[in-house]
This record gives sequence, structure tokens and C-alpha cells, in this order.
Amino acid sequence: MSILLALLAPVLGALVYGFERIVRARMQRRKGPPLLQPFYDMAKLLDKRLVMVHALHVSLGVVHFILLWVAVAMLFLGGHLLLILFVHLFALLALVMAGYSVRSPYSHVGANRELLALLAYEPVLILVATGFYLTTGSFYVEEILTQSPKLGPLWMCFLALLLVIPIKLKKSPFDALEAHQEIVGGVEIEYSGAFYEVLYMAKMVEYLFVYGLVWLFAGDSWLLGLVLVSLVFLLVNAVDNATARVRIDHLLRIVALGGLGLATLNLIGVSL
Amino acid sequence: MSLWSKWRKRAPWILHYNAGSCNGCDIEILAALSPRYDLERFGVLNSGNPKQSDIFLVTGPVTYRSRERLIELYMQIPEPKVVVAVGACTATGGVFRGMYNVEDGIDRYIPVDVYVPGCAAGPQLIIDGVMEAVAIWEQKTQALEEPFRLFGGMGTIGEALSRRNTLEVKDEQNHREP
Amino acid sequence: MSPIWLLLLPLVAAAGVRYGTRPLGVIGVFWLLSSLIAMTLQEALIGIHASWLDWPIALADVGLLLFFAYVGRNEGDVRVFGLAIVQMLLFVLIELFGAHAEGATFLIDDASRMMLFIVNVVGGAIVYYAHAYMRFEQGDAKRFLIYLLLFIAVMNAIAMSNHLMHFFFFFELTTLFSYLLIRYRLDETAKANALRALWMNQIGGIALLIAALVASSSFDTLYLDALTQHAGGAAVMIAVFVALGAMIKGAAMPFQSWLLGAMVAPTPVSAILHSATMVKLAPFMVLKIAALLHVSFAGALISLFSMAVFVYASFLALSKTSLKEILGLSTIALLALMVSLAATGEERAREIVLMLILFHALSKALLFLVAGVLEKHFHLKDIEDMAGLIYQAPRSVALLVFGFLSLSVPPFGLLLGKLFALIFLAQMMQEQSWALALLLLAALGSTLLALLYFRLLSHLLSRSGERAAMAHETIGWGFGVPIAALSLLSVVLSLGYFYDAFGLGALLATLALLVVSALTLRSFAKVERVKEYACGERAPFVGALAYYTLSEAYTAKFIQGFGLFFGLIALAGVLS
Ligand code: SF4
Repeated sequence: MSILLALLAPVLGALVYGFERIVRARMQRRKGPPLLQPFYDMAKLLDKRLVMVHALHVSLGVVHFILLWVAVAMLFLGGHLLLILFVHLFALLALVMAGYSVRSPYSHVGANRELLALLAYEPVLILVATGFYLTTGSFYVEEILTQSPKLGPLWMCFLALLLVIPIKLKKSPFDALEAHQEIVGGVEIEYSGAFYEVLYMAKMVEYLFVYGLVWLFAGDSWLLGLVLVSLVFLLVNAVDNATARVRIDHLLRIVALGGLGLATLNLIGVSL
Repeated sequence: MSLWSKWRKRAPWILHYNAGSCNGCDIEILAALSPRYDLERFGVLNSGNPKQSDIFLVTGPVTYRSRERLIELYMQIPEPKVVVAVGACTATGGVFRGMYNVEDGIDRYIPVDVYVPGCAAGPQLIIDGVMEAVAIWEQKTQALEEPFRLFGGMGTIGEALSRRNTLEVKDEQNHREP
Repeated sequence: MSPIWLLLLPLVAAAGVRYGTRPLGVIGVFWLLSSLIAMTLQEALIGIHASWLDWPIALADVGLLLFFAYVGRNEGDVRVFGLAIVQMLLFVLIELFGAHAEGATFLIDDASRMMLFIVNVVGGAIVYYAHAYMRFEQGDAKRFLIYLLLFIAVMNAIAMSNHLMHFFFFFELTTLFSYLLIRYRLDETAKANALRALWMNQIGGIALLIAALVASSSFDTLYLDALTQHAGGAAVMIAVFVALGAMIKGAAMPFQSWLLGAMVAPTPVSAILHSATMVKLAPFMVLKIAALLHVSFAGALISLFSMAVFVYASFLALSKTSLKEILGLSTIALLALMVSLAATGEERAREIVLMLILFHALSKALLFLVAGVLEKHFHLKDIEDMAGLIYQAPRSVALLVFGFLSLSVPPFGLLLGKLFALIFLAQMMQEQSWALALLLLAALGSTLLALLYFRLLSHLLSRSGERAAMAHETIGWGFGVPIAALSLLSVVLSLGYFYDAFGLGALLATLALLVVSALTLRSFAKVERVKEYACGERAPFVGALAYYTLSEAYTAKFIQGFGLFFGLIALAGVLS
């Protein structure tokens, strides 16, 4: 089962993404695109003529996708949480390198913001993982999922994760990394056609990664997991629809101080 | 018609460029994307990046300063692509026609596939124009696949290889050939 | 093989270089032999009794201190002179007190074995490399090589010695050699930096002397293994002062300028030696006395201080443009991480620190060697000039990329070390909740370092479009052999470490992942190339790097803060 999930991660992610586009549209009282829109997008992108800036740029994008997929697969298969975070970090760093590897101002600005955001949320994620370790005695996802829900003792870590989610999913108010109207997508700007599809899939896989992390708070309770994920899903989209973008330095400050502060407080509480 | 070709034209992504327009049509384009008209239900995205776009929505009569950008942007959209001229001034120069600093319409510089009339063009018309563009886009894609049908006798092989093997399109093709 | 050979071999090799006709051959043989010995040292603790060495070493010590005083007077540096006098006084005091307990003169435990391995394998590679390098330099190449070989002998001695005063003597000898190596070029900056390195390390020497004074007065022994058996305030004080000396050797924050000065010095080989081997004395010395710091206030302070240095040095590196300076700062950062882990005094931390020492030495040496090649072949020092370097120097850049990746990517050892460090800190938190602060800083610092490395890497790869012809560069055997050896070692050892930690399945999976990732690195020859999007403009964009830095005032405040903290540790040591 989990192997199947891991293998089908991009497909699954695409469905989540398609669903999300509908939900977002409904929140704005629109009809929105069909559920299978990500697949239509794929069909279209694969049909376009291939152009690229240089080979390394494309390769790094593909590496980004593969590593992200691996991170999600490890999450589904019950791997070591810190290791998963590290793989995830490298996936993003590959993207950052790709962003810097072309001479495009937007790409550079985007890569730079990506780095800054990484700096803000990576420690938070590590602390959240430590929170799981302190409460369950294991870093292994497998183990965490066999224990009772840890939302209670880790509620502040959960809030910290909520701060991180909009960054990961490129949602307002923390979408300065992508900022379509401002830096035209940032790091992904120079990808087109099939190569962009790879990045597009990576984005969808990221959804699974993030909601997978949310699921961890529910432990062995499927019901709570479903409730948590759907609540977070709705919340993130509602916030996305209702807020404006904050600047990258504000983002850094909010997430680093807020997220780290919350997670630290929580860990102090847990370890005392 | 294979599943593929059914699916492949359902995600027209738009690049919107203002070649010196009065902004009237730009506002209408954004209105078409807004919740009321919801252009996104056709899978349309306003990508703002030529490399990821299929449909080039241009407004404005092309001022001298915007000529090079217009062409550069057009060039950067990978094939197959479609150009939609939105608004009267984009088609003919409109209210700006004959002015000292404008060209009269974008088709002096890039090939236009769809003209959307009106000053300003209404959102419904724009949606119509985009949909028309999607149809042309499919035709263009098929035309791009045409090389398979070269060399007369090889036609059958080309037929088999080509993704395009529907009757209507063939008829239309025969019609076009002199 | 007796480890004593490790002391003799470099001396023999030095003689061979001095009087022989084929220095490269001599160095090669030395490198092989000493590496073999270092690799095959026995597992168990080995003690070698040679108390007859005490007197000659004490005499040599006096000579060395006199020499320092002479240097201070000669160069007109009050600090060097004054510190030498202070050292002399302390030295006389210790000799007056005298310690009468007997013990093993040389002792080889796990930390020593790791140190010996690094000094001989990595150090040997550096000497081999230095031979090729010196052809580009003016001056007496032979003398330089002899310095290096003697330096290795001293490092071997310090790694084995168990007597605090011998330790001090060899410590001061490394100081002397770094002084000589840094000022090798004899220009103004070189001299100034050498003097700074000298007086700063002399302070470290004084810290060691204070530790020795306390040891001989309260426990009547100067043997480290005996000292670690004791407990209580005086024991902690000894440990703290040894650790302070170690941190100065490791160029921790208020003293960072001596190591950075060594980087600016025109002879990168000395920089390599400093960065890859000598500064490893910091975690090594702390490991030696770590047992005393276990669950003590002073130990906690040292850990916190070092972890803060880890974060700050990583951050500081983000504002530098010289490749060697960046490498130097990241060295300081990682050393601080090791010291911090070691100072917790936990048994579990020990192995992690040793692994970090090993892999850091391999990767850093590799990076410095390649930086040297770039400097000599392409006259590049500044990373700003290295944008798109992959065109002119595909091989060197590939090696640089490899070096950086080996510092930061699984399955390489350094990353595993960091991973285990985080896990260890999380475990430690269950017993001592203040470790949370360590964990927080460690998470922050390792993210900062990753940022640093990848920012640099991406700059090397930056380019627009692809040019058809790539320049063909040759690295040459003199440079190539040591570089290849270090790369190979770092791969093999990393794989071993990974296998040890996660088992065969994970190793194979990771390798498969690497292969798949490597497969994506294709030339895509059939795909068209286009220019970047620039809003329809055609103006070229010259890629620049982003730098992050604090204002001058804040930087000064931070350094002062670290200075205060350092003083606080000393105070805590005295009070305990
Ligand atoms: S067509 Fe009219 S409204 Fe539209 S841009 Fe031109 S002048 Fe403005």
C-alpha cells in the first residue's frame, strides 16, 4: 500500500493539486478548472517544442524532482524523519543551484529568496522532528504512526508547521519565493515545455510532503489524520485567498521568530 | 482521435503584453480572468512568462518603443503558439491610428491569428477570442506535425506515424492545398 | 608496527629531501609508509613509557620560549615578548612544583589514532602536493618542504603524547611552525599575520600552562590519562583551561583572525596544513579531557559558546568573497561544532566528533588543494571572478563541486556526522534540557553552512547558454595524485560509514539515487538553446552573488560578545 502510494506520488499530488484549484475557485465563487486539469497541463506541456537555456539547468531541475519524490517516498515508507528533511533540503538546494545557474535576474532573485526561506523554515522543521522524537522516542515515521496522536503535547510545533506550510506550497501571504506578478515565478522562470512539467510535478509532490508532515501529528488515528489534513487544507487555501503577499524580509522574520519561538517553547515544555 | 490530442489543448496559458495600449483592454483581460468571468475554468492561466505560454494576448497599437519587446516576446514563446490581438487599436491602430509614435496594429510585426474587436473589447469577446485561439492552436499543432506526410508515397507511413489521423482534418488539408 | 616510527619517518624524509636528489620520490615513499602505519595501528590503548624524554623536552621548551621572546624583541612586538615571559614564569613555577607520578609518555587511544591517520594520510598528501606547488613559488622550496615534514613529525608527537608538559611543548612547536610557514614569503602582511598567529597561539599555550600548574599542584600528576580519572573542581578547571587553549588553536571567534590571516598569506600550502590538520587539535584536545567536562557548568558553557561560534562563523562566511577565506571560516565553524559536541563529555558524542574530524579533514584538504590549483593555473582567488568557471576549468570545477558536495550531501560522511550530531543532541535533551539551545544553534548553523556551500557552487556553474568548445585543462600528476587520493578516500570511507550506520539496503538505494541523478546530467544536444527571459529586453545580465552581512558596529559587538563569553568560561573554570 505505502509502496504504491510512494510510486504514485506525482499522480496523487496532481489530483490533490487539481482538487485544490477547484476548492480555491469555489471559495471565490468561481467554477474553476476540472479536477484533471494538471493532467491536461501535462499533455499540453509535453506537446510543446523543447527549448532550454543550458543542459545543467534542466538536469538540476530533474534532480530536484527526483530528490523530492524520494523524500516523499521515504515519508510514506516510514523512514527516518531527519534524513527525510535532509533529502528534502537537498532537493530544494538543487533547485536553488538551477536558479543561480542561468543569467536571469528573476531566476537569481527567486533562488536567493528560496535560500532565505530555507534558512527560516529548515530549523523549524528540524525542531518539529525533534519534538516527535521527544514525545515518541523515535525519529522513524513508521514508529511515530503507531503511537497515539501527538497533537496535544506538540500543538505549538503544529502551529509552527502551519507557518511553514504556505512557504512550501507557495501560498499567500508567504509566496514571495514565487511571486508571479513580481518575479515571474522565480527559479522556475527559465523552464518550459516538458522541462517545466518536471518542475510542475515537483510542486505537486511537495503537496504530499507537506500534508504528510501534517498527518504525522495524528499518530495512529486515521480519523484525526483526515480531519487535520482537510482542516489545514481548507485553512491554507482560505488564507491564500484572503491575504496579500508579505515581503521576503518580513517572511523571514515572521517564520524564523514565530516558528522557531513556538517550536522552542514547545520543546522546552516537552523536555521539562 | 487519441486521448492525447483530446487533452493536449485544454491548458492554454496566456502571456499578456501591453504594446502601448490605453490600458482599457488590459483591464478587460484581467476582468475575464476574475471570478465573474472565470477564464480559468478552461484551464487558462495567466503565466506572465513567454517560455511557459501558448497564447499571446497583445493589446495596444505598438508604440515605437515596444516594437522590439513585442518581437522578442513573440520569439520566446515556444511553438506551437497563437497570437490574439485584443482591441481595435491592436488590430488597426484604432484611436491611435496615424499618430507620430505608433505603428498601426501589431500585425505589421508579428502574425496575428485572432482579432478581438472593440474599444475596449469586452470580457465575453475576449473569452471567445481565446477559445477561437485554442482551436487555431490545435490546427497549428497539426500543421507542425505535417512533415510526416511529405514524400507522397510515404504518406501512408506518415499517416501511421502521425498522431493526426482524423478525417476532418485531412479534408481540410486537401482543401487548403492548391 | 610501532607508532614511534611515525615520529622518525618524517625526520628521515626531511633528511632525504635535504640531502637526496629526488625529493618527490622521498616524499611519496614517506607518504605511503606513514599512511600504512597510521592505518594499521592497533585498536587497543597503547602506552609507551619513556620518562627519560622529560628532561630533554623541558630543556627544549626553555629554548623555544627563549626563541619566542627573541622573536618578540626582534620584531618589536610587545605582545609576543610579554606572553613569552609570562609563559616562562609559569613554566618555571610548574617545574618547581614538579609532579612525581609516573605514567605512559605516549598513549594512543581512539582519538589519537584518528589524529594520526589524518596527519599522515592527509598531511602526506599535502606535502606531496606542495612539491608540485613550490615550482610556482620563489624561494627555497626544499626548506619549505622540510618545514612541512617537521611539522608532520610534531603533529604526530602531539597526537600521541600523554604528558601535559609534552603536550604543551608540541603545541608550542606547532605554533612555531605555523609562524614560520605563514611568514615564509617575508612580505609585510605575511610577517604581520605570522606575528598575530604567534601571539594568539601563545595565549593558548598559557592556558595549557595554567592547566598544568593546577594539575601538578592539586593532583601531583601531569599525565592526561591519570588526570581524567579525577573529579571535582580542580579537575574541571584543568579541563576548562585545556579546552580554552584548544579553542584558540581552533581559531574560535575572538581569535578567528589568526587562521584567516594564515589564509591571506601567500603560501596556500600552509593554509591547507592549518585548515585540514593542525586546527583539528582543537576537537582532539577537548576530546582528551572531555570526560572531566561531563555534566559540568563549565562544560555546558564551552558547548554553548562553541555552538554559537559555529553559527556566527557560518554566517560571517556568507559575506566573504575570497575562496580561501570562505573555506577558512567554514573550517572555524565546523571545528566549533566538533568542540561543542566534544565538550558535552558524552560517550556517544565521541565517535561523532571523530568522524567529523576525519571527513572534514579529507574534504577541506581536497578543497584547498583545488583552490591552490585554481590560484596557480588561473590566477583566481575571488569567487566573484569564478562565475561560469566551469568553461575554462571543467576539471577543477568538477573537483571543487565534488569537494563541496562531500561536505554537504548524503552519503558523504560529513553530512552523516551532522545528522548524527542532531540526533545525539535530541537524545541528550531527554536528560539535560539545556541541550535544546545546542540543538537550535546546530540546526541553524548547519542550514547556514548548506546555504553557504550551495550559494558558492551555484556561482561556479552560472552561465548563459552553452559554448561549443571547452578549454582543455591539465591538472598534472603533482597536483593530481594527492587530489585523487583524497577524493578516493573520502568516497570509500564515506560509503563505509554509511553502510555501518544504515546497512546495505540504504547504501544501495542511495547509490542508485546518485546514479539516477548523475544520469540526468546529459548534454541534451538535440534541444534548442534560447536566451533567458528579460521582459523582452536584450540587455545582458551579469549574475552577481548575494551577500549577507551585519553592519560593522554589530560585527564588532558580536566579536566583543564572544570575547566576553570566552572570559566567562575562564572564570567559570577558575571558580569551579
Ligand atoms: S482598443 Fe481601445 S480600450 Fe483597448 S487598448 Fe486600444 S484604445 Fe484602449
